[in-house]
Amino acid sequence: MTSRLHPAIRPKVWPLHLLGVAAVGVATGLGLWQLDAWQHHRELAAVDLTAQEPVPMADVLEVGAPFPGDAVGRPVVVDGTWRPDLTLLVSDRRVDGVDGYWVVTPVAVGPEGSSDPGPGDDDVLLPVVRGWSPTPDDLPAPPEGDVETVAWLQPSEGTGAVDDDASDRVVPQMRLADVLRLVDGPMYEAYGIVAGSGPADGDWPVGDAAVNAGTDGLDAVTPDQVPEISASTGLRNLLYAIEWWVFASFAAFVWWRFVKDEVDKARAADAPGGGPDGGPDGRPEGPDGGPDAPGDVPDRATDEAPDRSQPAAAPVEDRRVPSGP
Amino acid sequence: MRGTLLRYRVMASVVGVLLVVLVLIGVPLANFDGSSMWGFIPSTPAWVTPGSGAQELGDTITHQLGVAHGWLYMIFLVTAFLLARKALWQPGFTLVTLVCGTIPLLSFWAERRATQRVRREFADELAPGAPAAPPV
Repeated sequence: MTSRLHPAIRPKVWPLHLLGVAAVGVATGLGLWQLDAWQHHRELAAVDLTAQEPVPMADVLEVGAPFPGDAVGRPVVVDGTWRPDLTLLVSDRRVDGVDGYWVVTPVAVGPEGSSDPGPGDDDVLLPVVRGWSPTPDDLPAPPEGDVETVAWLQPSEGTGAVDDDASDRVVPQMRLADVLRLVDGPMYEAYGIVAGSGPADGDWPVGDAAVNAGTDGLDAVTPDQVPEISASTGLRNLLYAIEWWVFASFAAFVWWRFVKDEVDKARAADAPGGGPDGGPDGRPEGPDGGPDAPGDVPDRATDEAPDRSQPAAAPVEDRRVPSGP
Repeated sequence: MRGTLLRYRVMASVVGVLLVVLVLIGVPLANFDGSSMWGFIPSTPAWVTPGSGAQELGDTITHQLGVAHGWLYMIFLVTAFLLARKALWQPGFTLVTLVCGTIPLLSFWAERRATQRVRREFADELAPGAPAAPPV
């Protein structure tokens, strides 16, 4: 052995190590990120925020920002102006076995800190579910003017239902992209459900004292009537997490294989009397180069990949066995 | 060698086609409705009507096919790596082949490049009537 350094840590192999560390690290990290998202979904499903103290909506929801994952069902104070002209219905809302409709009227919410109660150019719309009705006809007239009430925040639905008649003001699900089509102007990435009664009874600063909540003539909607968010959304994150870790193991295996090739080549070159025996195309002619050698790779790939998720240099040292059978 | 090459080519084609469907059809249909995308892309061209059948199709493609493609891609990586070992490619060539498999359309070029190299270098073994390769 003429070389000073172990073949696995010579500068020639450094780029391989760099790539290996990067690939394994990135894949592991992305897996952790997906796992985190999955756990987050499960936590959200388990936590009920609906009885919490209401906070100003601006504390939870930002204009243009995605729906904050920890705000599902959180009661907020909505302060703005009804837009009765934009009222719409959401179909297929079942309450006690009766199919009915949610009645939704957007509230125009002024910029934070705005003292002007009237409508303005900077207003952003928040669709607000005022209540439930068994029929789309004979609805109470939508409210007009200023409103101040508590609403449970909800993220957009995505049940996969298709709007078969895009020309009317009825949507089959509370999907904000569908709602956006029926209203004009900027809209929050959320909708609200007027928290008029139920757990809200009297406890809340606004609750009973809501101003013009627009719920008259409609049955109250509670967050437990919101169709459950599909469990597959979270499951998909878990599947992706596992996928990333399988990928990380694979990257580690490839890394180890490449390093082992280099080590074998270097050892052959270092051996007394042995010249560099790799051809110009990098083909080694040692035991690895035999026609049978790659034949056993499939088994090695499946058997050994998971074991090699550790840094590759270590296993190389004790593996003097040629990779041939 | 013949089997290894065939397995690689089948997986490369399957993954390549799925990738095109997923990225060049599914993602635009699902997301290009004029609104923001994935939280960090501020706006998209308004090509698709939200809630339309086309967008639902896009959602289905990205959700179902997305997961399936991930796993198929793992199988592709394994078949490609086995071929790389068997054909004694250097790390550089191997990595380019693996990485290009992730890029829509470029994956087809990588598959051609790899296949042609194997056919050139292992012409004897792949020739009709040549003795079968050792069992894999």
